[in-house]
Amino acid sequence: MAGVSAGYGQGYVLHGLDFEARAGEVALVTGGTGAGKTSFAHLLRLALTPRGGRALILGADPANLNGATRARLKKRIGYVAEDPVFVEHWTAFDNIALPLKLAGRKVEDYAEDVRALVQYAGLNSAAGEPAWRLSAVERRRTAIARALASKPDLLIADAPTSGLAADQAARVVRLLAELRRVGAAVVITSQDDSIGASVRAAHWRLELGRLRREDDDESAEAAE
Amino acid sequence: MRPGADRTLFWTMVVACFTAALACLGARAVDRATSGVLRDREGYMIVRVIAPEGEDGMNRAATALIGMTDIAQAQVMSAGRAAELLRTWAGAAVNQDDLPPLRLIEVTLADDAPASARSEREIVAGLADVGVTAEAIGPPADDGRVADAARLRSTSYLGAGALSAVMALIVLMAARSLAMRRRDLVTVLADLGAPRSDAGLKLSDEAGAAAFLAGAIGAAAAGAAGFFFAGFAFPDVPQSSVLTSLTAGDIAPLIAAPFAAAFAAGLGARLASEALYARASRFG
Repeated sequence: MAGVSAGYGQGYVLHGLDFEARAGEVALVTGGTGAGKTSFAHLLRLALTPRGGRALILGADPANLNGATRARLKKRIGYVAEDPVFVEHWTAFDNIALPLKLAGRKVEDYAEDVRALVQYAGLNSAAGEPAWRLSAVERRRTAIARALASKPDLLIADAPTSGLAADQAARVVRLLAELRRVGAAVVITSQDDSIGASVRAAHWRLELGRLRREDDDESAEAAE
Repeated sequence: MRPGADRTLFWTMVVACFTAALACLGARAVDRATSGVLRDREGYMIVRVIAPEGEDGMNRAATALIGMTDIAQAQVMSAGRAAELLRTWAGAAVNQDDLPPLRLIEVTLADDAPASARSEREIVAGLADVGVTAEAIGPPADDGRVADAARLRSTSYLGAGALSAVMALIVLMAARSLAMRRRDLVTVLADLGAPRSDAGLKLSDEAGAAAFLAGAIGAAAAGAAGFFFAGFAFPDVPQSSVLTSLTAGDIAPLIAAPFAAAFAAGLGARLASEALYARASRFG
């Protein structure tokens, strides 16, 4: 995207953003409270429409999408919200399986895949619990597993480490970054600059709605 | 519907369906009662045989009347029957032995007979053909009861219709509230790229199924209540007779209630899901 601005109502939150995330890459966007990280995530996941500049998300201009095309593109986007929303009385397993159900797959076809995701996300026995009984970490892991279920081309994680201990946060970030190995672009937003040490990532800094490239973080590469 | 949740809204729908179904049953009962009054008045007359005098004239008239196509029944009025009719006005003091010889025949017209005024003329003409001079006495042209019955019938239908519409609105609003509580599902579906129609369909299916069940329960309760009221209103009529006298039109409100409730609830849920989806899928 080049020179993209966006906002809510009459106001602007994001100003003249230049940003790029390629397939197979991880982009880490850090910034303080109110910097616009969540709005940036909404912009990438097609929930917030650009008002200025040029953007291409998965090859489509988000400013000119009809409802059906927007919905179709969203199926290729995995999204992990800071406070993930689930169907609370469904089990974690069923929530993870939902993208596959929506894709029209039958339970006998996707059950094995979902079990693999449960294991990958480290949910184990929590998979059988209803979402409302999951801990914060388990909810985050469930959200990640759900986002991965549809094998997205673009994965956006909005503050996935907030409220987690340092070791858990590092594990969550590594879990997300793994998706680049299957060719997806991964965008992670966070308040915490130190999570860049966990993975090799292009580091971007967002401040008061303005984005700038920091570096490619060689130290992170070393950490991996 | 989520187990353990939303019970209040569900039972709100049950009560709404019960009220609507009972109102429609009541309107149907009024319809049947007033139709009976109208039919009795329109389809009943008395023939007074003037000549020839004696048994011969009466028998010839009765035979001729029974043979006419527009007449369902013709019965020579006995002294006992005449006394019974007179007691309606004159009280219990009427004694059949005090009555003079009667030359009257009670006539019940067939359901598809023409208006009574025309029947009166045709009956008199038909009897003249067999040499009987008679006069036919129909009900008064309008003593107010016919108009009252017709007014009562239309008022009861209008009232039941209006009440049912309000109850449908209540079901719609209850289903909308049920759907609003599924904000999480719609948000998830919108995030995962499910089309707006899928989200709407999912919620309207859920609300429709809940409302159908609520409608069935409400209708069953209304049917039971109607049966109870019928027994209370007509204590001399055996319950088995009440059941066997029911027609398809009588139970139509009970059959329709679950479907109407499901439709109203589906619509309410669809409206809610549209709003939720729009809110969840796009900001700014």
